[in-house]
Amino acid sequence: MDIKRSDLKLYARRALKGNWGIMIGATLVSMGISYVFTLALEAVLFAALGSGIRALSGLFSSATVAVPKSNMSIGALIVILIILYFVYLVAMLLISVGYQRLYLDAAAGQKAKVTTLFWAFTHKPWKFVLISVLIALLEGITTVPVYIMSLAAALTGGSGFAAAFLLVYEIIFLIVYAYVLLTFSQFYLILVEDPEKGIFEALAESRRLMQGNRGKYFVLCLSFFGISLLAAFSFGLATLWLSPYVGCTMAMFYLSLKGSVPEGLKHSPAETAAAGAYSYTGQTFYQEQPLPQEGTYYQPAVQTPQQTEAYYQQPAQAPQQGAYDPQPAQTPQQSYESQPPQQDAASGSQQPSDYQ
Amino acid sequence: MNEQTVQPKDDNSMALGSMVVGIISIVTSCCCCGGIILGSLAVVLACLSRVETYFDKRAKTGLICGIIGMVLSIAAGLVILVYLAAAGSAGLAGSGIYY
Repeated sequence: MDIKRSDLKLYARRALKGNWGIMIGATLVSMGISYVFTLALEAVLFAALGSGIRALSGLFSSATVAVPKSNMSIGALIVILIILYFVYLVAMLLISVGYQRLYLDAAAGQKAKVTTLFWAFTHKPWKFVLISVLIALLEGITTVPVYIMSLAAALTGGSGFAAAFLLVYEIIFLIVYAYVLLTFSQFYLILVEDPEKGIFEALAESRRLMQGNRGKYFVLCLSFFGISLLAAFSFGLATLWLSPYVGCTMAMFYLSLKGSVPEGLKHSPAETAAAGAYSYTGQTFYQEQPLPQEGTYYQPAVQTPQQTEAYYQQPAQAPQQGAYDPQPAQTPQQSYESQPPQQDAASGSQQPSDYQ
Repeated sequence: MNEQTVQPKDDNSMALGSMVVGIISIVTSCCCCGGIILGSLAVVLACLSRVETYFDKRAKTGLICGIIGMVLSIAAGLVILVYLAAAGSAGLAGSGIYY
C-alpha cells in the first residue's frame, strides 16, 4: 500500500460526492427501524410488567391495581419479548453488515442505493449472525478470569495478589486484543465483498492483508479523533455525515490494501471535467475520445489562452515538400501573420490557418 | 490541464451548506448552544466538502464562519458565567433580580 492517509480520505470524499443523500437516508431508515423495534419492545415490556404487577397484587392483597389489562399471560408476554429482542438484535446486526456493503459500494465507485442496507438479509445472513455470536462468546470467555479473580478478591477481603493479577491481566489483554483487532480488522469487509468465502479463509486473508499495515490502520483510526470531537459538539448532528465518511475511508483502506482503488477517484473533479468525464461514480470514468490520425494536427477540444500562446511561441517545424514554404523557417505566429486569416463564414470569427 | 477555461460543474452543495450553517452559527452565537452546535457542524461540513486538493471558497467561508461562531458562543457563555459570578458576589441574587 503506497497511498497516503490524506489521499485515502480525499478519495473517500470523492466517492461520497453524489451519494451523501443516500447515506443519510440509509442512516435515517436504520434509525426508524430501530425506533419501531424499540417501541414494540417497550409495549410488550409494559404489558408484561402490568401482568406481573396484577399477578403480584392478587397474591398479596385483594385490592385492584390500576394497570392495563392484557389478554395474554405473563409467560407468553415474556416469550414474545425475548423473541422480539432476538429479532431486533439480528435485524440491527444485518443492517450494520448492510452498511459495510454500502460503504464498500461507494468506495468502489458504484452508485449507492438505500436498499443495499438490507443486502445481508439475502446474502448468507446466518453466517454473519454466527460470526457475531462467536465473537461475543470469545470476548465473554476472555473476561472470565477477571470475574473469577474479582470474586476471589471479594471473598478473601481483597488481596494484593488479586489486584496485581487483575492489573497485569488487563494490560496484557488490552495489548493482545488490540493486536487481534488490528490483524483481523478487514475480516468483515472481506466477507461482505464475497460472502461465499469461508470464515477461516477470510481470517487468513485479513491477516495477510494487514501484515505491515497494522500501524497505518491504527493511525488512520486515530486520525478521526478531532473531527469526531467536533461532531460531538454538534450534539451528534454531524455524525449523519461523519459515519459514512469514516466507513467509506475504512472501505477505501481495504481497497488500497488490495490495490483496487478506482482510478477515477484519483483525479480531482476539475481534472475529470477537463478530460470530459461524465460521472465521478461508476466503473467507466472517462469518455472515449477518438485519437487524432497520424500526420494531422490535433487540437484539444478546449485550450487555455496560455496554451494557445505557448503553441504560437513554439519553433516551427520543417515544412512539408510542396506546402507553404516560407524562408527562413518561421514560428507559427509569424506564419499566421504572413498568411491572411480565413474568415469563418458561419461565425465571422477569424481562425488561425493552421487549425483549418 | 484546462482549469482556466473549463469550469467543473458547480455542484458542491455541501460547501454551500457549510457556508449557510456557518453564517447562521454566528447569528445564533449569542444563544449559547446555537453557535457551538451549528459552528461545529459548519466546520465538519466544510472539511467533508473538499474533493479537490484545495478548499472551495464557500467551504472556506463556512469553515471560518463556523470557527468564529464557536468562539463567539464560548465567549458569550464565559461572559454569562462571569456576570453571574459577579452578580452573586455582589449580592444581586438576593435583591430579587433573579426572582
